[in-house]
Amino acid sequence: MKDTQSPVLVENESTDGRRKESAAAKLQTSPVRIDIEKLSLSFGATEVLKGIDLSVEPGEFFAFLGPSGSGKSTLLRAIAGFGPAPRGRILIDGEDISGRMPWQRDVGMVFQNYALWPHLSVARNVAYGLEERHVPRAEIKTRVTAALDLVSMTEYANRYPSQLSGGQQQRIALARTIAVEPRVLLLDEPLSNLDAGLRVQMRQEILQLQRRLGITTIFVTHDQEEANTICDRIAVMAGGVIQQLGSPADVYDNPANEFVARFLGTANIIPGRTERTATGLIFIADGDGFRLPLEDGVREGRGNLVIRPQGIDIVGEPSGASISGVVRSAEFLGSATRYSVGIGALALLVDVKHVRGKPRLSVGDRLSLSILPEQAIFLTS
Amino acid sequence: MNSSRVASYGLKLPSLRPYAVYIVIALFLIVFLAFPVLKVIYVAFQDTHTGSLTLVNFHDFFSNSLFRESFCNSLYVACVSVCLASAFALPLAYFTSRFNFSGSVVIQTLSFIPLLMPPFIGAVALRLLLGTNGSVNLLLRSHFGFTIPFMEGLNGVILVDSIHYFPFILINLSASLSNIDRSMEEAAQTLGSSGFRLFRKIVFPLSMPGFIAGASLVFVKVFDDLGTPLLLSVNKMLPPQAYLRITSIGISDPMGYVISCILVAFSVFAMWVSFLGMRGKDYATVQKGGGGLSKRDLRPMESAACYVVVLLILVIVLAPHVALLLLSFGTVWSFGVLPNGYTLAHYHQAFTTAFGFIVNTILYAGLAALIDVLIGTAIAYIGQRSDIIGRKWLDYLATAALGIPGIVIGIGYLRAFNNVNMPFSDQTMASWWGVIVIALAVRRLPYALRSCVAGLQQVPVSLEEASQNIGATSLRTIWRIVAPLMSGGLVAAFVTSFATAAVELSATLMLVSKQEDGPISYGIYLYMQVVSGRGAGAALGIIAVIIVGLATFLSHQLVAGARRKMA
Repeated sequence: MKDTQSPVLVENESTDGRRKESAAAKLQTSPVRIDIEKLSLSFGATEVLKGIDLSVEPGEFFAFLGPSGSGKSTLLRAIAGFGPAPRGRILIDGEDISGRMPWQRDVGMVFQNYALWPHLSVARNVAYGLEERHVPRAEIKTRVTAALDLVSMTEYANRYPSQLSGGQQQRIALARTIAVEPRVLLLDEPLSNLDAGLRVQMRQEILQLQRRLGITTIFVTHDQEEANTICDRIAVMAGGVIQQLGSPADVYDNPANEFVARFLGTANIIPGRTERTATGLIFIADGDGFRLPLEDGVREGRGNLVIRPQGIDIVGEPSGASISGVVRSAEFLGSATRYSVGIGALALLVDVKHVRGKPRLSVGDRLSLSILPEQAIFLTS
Repeated sequence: MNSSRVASYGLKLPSLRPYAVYIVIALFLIVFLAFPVLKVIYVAFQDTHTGSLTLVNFHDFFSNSLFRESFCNSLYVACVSVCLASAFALPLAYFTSRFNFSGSVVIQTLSFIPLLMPPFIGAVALRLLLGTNGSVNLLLRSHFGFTIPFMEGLNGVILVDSIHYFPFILINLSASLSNIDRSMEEAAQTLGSSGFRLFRKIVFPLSMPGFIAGASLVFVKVFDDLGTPLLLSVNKMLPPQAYLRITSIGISDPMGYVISCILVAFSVFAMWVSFLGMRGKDYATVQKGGGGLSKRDLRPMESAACYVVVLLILVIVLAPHVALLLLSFGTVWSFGVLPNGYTLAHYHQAFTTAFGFIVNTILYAGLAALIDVLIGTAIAYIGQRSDIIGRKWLDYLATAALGIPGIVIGIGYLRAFNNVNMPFSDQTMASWWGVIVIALAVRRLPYALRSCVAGLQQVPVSLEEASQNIGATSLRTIWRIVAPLMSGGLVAAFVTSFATAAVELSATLMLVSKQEDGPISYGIYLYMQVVSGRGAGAALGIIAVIIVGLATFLSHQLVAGARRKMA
């Protein structure tokens, strides 16, 4: 990959930062909010979006997170004005833009495949939107330079897209979009065409760029790690519906349903019921499973208990009060070892932090588990 | 079983066999392509009396006002035809790629029809429709008192050729357009671009390589076309001049060779332009799952307007075919909007006195196509799967035939093989019917070769390796695995060769030494020249179109069937 030679890594960190700050100052706009109200959309007979309601705060970095087919890209494209006309309203800065053509919306979009025009040089690609807006020539020049500065691609102005690596094309696509100072920045799976190492670097660059410009940004991805690391808030989508909305940590810790619990990381999901006893509320797993006291405020009835693998502790030899089980298998993950522990017919995944030299349990070892009530979330069905 | 498997381990395709095949094909191409063409070029630079190399022939050519005029006319006709063909193709390509337009299927189907028929077949018929005293002008004169000189002189050649060759632009342009990813356009829209500006700045430049490829092909085809000007009695153009010089003055007259040189030079030049247009511009931007520009629905008024444009173009495009059909069924058609009466007599004549032409056509085109498939497969296999030094050179040599006009091949064969006597007969090789087959095979080989190469590319090497791993020899593997899997490509190769060879005229016209040896295109040419023979000529033309159309249809069915089976 040519990206290892990119100026970002070579240049002095602080001068680079200063140059970017001054470049960003030339391209800044006041941040706006986005409101989406009761948005529905169908491809023929199939309903792809079903009554989406959400607001993105000014300057927020927001993610649509979901598996393929969840409608996240369709929603993003609807904001940009592509695809079949939706029902409902899309407001940018309080103004309904849902009836406008894509070129009247002032919404910048970076495409998954970058969509750089192969017949135009890098500089011409970046200048394109400004030319369309009849910006004076001198200003076009400053803004193109500023945009290329912001993505550290100034030297590549006269190259053609086919002469650039994937990461460089990505930067040019960003520069082309921000050069026109759009009110909103939409990123459609921008990292999916990059290899793993570059993806981590680019997502930091995108975050820095967004912070420097302060532009309201929506990022579409199916990768929860991407969304978690750079976004202020995420909307988890599935089946054309927003399943949950909140900060990454909040959504991870308090999944609203089984889908969200499974989609964001690994979770033990145990079917059972809750019952009120003299000591408080307890959970009783189905079958010959275990009993567990829960926090107050949980509803009674049938449902699923959600516990993350790192929310379970191994406390040693089996004793009367704790839950006892048998190690069935072990996966070494590096920072932790993930055991599958059998409790009757049930199997629980348990992560044990790994440090150098720590001995591992073997299959067949008997042990006892402890689960703190606050580590368990009960979702009524 | 066991012993044969053991025996085959050491054999690993005897290393001499591909070399032998290579040498045989190379000899064939050198003798029947390189040598005659080089001979023509050499003679053009040779002094007729002393035999030394000179430029005097070119000086003579350009100091003759008739030749100067012919040269300018040819250039003018080719350029204007490209413009007119573009005018037909651009709207059709644009409508079908941009709009959800129910006429798209009609356009795509009907616009291929001209390719089934070479232009010279419809030329005379079109004159009856659009000529000075043709149907349209008779109507115009009686109702409005004026006429339009559609078919006057060079106009006729331009009109006939652009009607027949515009699909080349349409096909290439449509392919280019459908290779543009939707995001290319959407990115421009989010940046504030729309409508015609977006088309001009993004869509059109991206489809340029396809347009240039199509346009340069049309230029070459028109520039080299011999049949159309001859049948329309437009002799002041380069190919007819070459033909007339060689047939009336003789094969020692240098002017035919000078003209041949110019034709080759322009063909090569046009192909070079096309290559420059494509080089480094692999604009195919479609991503996985994506596909072409976004299409939008038309409003009723727009739809109506599109239909009017499309119908107008299709009427023009189908005019030669309609006229030919009328002519083939008409009794007498002269100074009338329509023929005076209708009859089947011309078809009767075509199947009796002219039947020999039909038989010859099927024989010649069939043999030529067979040769092309065999050679094409061998070249493709050697090029892709062997490690012979210079394995790509056969491909380059065979493909070079694209740049050689038919009339040049014809003149070259006459000159090169005139002194070679065929064994067991008193004929020279140049007058033997087999040489027509070889000329057809050489001329169509580039097309057949591309189909063979494409067919072989669809067979992953691993499938062959798997077969060899289990113990089949290379030849057995080719026979049992490769050939069945590339059968679609082979059928396509055979049919392309057959269909285009069946209606070839320019080389054929030079090489047919007696009437009994002539194929259908020669027959049409003979009959169309005399007024009384036009009906039969038209009937032969319709038969030719049916043969070619049927072959094309069958191949589509076969290829589609094979593809279904493998999917």
